[in-house]
Amino acid sequence: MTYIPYDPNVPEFVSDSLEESQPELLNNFLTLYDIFRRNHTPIDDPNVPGNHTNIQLKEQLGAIQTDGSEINLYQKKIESSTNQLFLRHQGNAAEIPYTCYQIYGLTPDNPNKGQRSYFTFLPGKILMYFGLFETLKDNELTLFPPIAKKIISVSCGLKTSSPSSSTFKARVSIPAVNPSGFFDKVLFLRSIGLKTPSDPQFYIVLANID
Amino acid sequence: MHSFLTLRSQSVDPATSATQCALYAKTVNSVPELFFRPNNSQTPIQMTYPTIKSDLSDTQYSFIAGPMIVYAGKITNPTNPQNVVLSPGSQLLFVDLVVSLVDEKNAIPTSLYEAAAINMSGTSFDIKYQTVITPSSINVYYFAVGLV
Repeated sequence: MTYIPYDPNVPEFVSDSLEESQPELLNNFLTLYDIFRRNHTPIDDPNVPGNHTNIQLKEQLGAIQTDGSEINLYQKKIESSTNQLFLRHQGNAAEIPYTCYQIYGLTPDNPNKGQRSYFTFLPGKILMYFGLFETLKDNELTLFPPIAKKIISVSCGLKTSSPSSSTFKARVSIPAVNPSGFFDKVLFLRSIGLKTPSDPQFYIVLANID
Repeated sequence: MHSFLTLRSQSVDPATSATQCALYAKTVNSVPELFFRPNNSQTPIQMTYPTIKSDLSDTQYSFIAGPMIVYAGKITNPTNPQNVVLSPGSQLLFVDLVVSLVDEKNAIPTSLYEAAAINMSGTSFDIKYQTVITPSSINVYYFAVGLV
């Protein structure tokens, strides 16, 4: 949508008559009206004039000052990533990355049978991988995307219809970082000799990418 | 376009119609927090919590809408049992433990064992693990969810 440029110099002179300025004033009002309704209901809406419809945020270069009784939401670029939403509590508290990275499709090229992988983020750039696997090649669960700088925790549970004394969940081991400096695997070990679990297992891996 | 969004605390939850939802701030324990209210003035959902612990340390926490606190971490060489108290929060709803043996790939144990969280109370629990053998070194990962 194109807008008539807003002209701050209307009326141009103190001596300008309303008759002279009226077309320019109307243009300015129209521009304000059109720009306002980009993310608000129109100010002449009979039901909810001026309500926000969406909130687009321009990139900020630093944390935004937050006074008492306020909370701030803003967006800025995360190094080596994309622009994300940040949260800052009152009194200029430490800013919290409220969203992080981007959610995108998972690689279909997975070496493990029946591995279903998902991920999401918690505030604070904490990455949560989760899913299900059946058998693991070399006991290795592949973490994707491979961006974990620290594995915080691993959780798992059996998906079995016949629990018995031999259906216990795996222990885990974290291999060293890959050549790029990221943790991208978790070993799930279940019995003597690194035997692969025979029952499908759910898993959650929490990692930090900072 | 907005530069940033500064929300002043509201004393009451804004009403929402069938086609509206609302994002606003409301004070909880003297701290303004972000709330989401679905359409038709349904129950407001608190979206934020005052703090997180997010770094490269062994114990961290974040939050999810509710709000609830998500804890994750590693306890190195716990005693058996060992008490663990998570903070902040008021009551744990869920705790899962997974054993990790140090350098297991190079030193395969001759038996199996698991860990369990017992004696859960408030934000406290005890790590209890099987002692079929005594490993030279054991780590226990925890993943927990609790109320604020």
